[in-house]
Amino acid sequence: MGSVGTSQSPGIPGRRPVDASVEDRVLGFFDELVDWSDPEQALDTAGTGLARLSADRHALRRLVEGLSMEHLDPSLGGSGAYWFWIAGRADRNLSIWLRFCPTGAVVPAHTHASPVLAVVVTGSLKQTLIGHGGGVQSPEGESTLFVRHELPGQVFALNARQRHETSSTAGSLLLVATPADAGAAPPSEGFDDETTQKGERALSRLARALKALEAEDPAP
Amino acid sequence: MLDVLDRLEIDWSDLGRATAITDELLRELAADKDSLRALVERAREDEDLLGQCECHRLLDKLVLYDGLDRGFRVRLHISTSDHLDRPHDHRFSFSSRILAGAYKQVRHRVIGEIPEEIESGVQEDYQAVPIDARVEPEFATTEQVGSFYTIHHSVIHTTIMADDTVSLFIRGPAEKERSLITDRDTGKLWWRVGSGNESPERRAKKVMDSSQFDVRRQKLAGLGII
Repeated sequence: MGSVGTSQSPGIPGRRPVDASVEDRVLGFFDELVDWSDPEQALDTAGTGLARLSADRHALRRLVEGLSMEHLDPSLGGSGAYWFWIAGRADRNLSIWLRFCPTGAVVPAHTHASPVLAVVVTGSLKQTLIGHGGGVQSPEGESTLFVRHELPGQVFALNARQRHETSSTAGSLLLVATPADAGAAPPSEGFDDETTQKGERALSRLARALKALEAEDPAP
Repeated sequence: MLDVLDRLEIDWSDLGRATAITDELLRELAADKDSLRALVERAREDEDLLGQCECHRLLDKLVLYDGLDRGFRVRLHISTSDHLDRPHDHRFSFSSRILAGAYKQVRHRVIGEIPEEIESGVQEDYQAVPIDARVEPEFATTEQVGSFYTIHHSVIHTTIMADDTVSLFIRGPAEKERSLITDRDTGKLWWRVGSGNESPERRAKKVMDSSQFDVRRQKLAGLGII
């Protein structure tokens, strides 16, 4: 379970990529260092790469084929959403994830510990942004600012201050980029039985979902 | 579609409910080219609606239906080829669905105080006043064809559009006298007010005449929107 990197670049301690060659291919979509302090910059620099990766069905299939429970990160999931770490580099401050909701997920209002950049691969995500608008006659406290429906291909970025609640359709899949240190490495003693059962079920449904996606939109 | 609009009322104090109503309506309208074309033709012939259509630096607004006494007005927006980073809020909450083109949208937070003492007569970018407050992005996204969102009037956001981006837009009633607009390059602020509070010069400059309307109508047809 030690870190695995290529000869050129260090991996992330405690994380093992799905497959070194696939990881190189994934990271090849991201050629600029991301400024995580600014969601607009994150969108401008890594958003295109994330969208291109989401359209690469061959790479996605290889990623999913290589996934196992050691890639699950329960510290980021919950409420029906499963996060799998797939690739990353410490020196590029980048981690790439798959977020999958086998039966749908409603996540109450929350912030993320790290900034997040995401693209919808399949399914849809409804999200409500909550906060202080800042414009003329803004309500005193926090209020609903945006109600949004994110569709396949749509990329969005939020910083760690932006509170939101999300509702994902059953089978929805997102590709997500974060700073390298997001989440928590898997426990060395493994997961408890319940987490293992749920995670394995999610993995199996993810493989089926991706096959269906490839049938709709085959890899070139 | 006109029957549906004639019966419709929207209460924007419940943003979730307003979202559900406008989402369905915009989805139906976007898929119904005949109705959309009929609404555009009707706006061309209706003196009151045509009088509300406006040409702006960043986008043109065609008012297709005015039910503001029942809480809504339907517009079509067409972006120009000018694309500036101008964070702003609105006097009203609204919903939007993208029919053509694409844009980047950024939601900002404000660092510092917005100086309320700047006079409401400051309505043009060349009159804009430097301010100490600045904005910082909190959320950014790419809007594409089919994207839908509802936004509260207090949100400060920027939309940087590709040429000829077209949106169907439903706005609610004005909830304040003025909204702010800033320029990130200059750090200056000016206000936007309702048509009744605009100077005659400004009004004359932005009102769309029938020949300008015809050019937009032709563009919509060329884009396959109507």
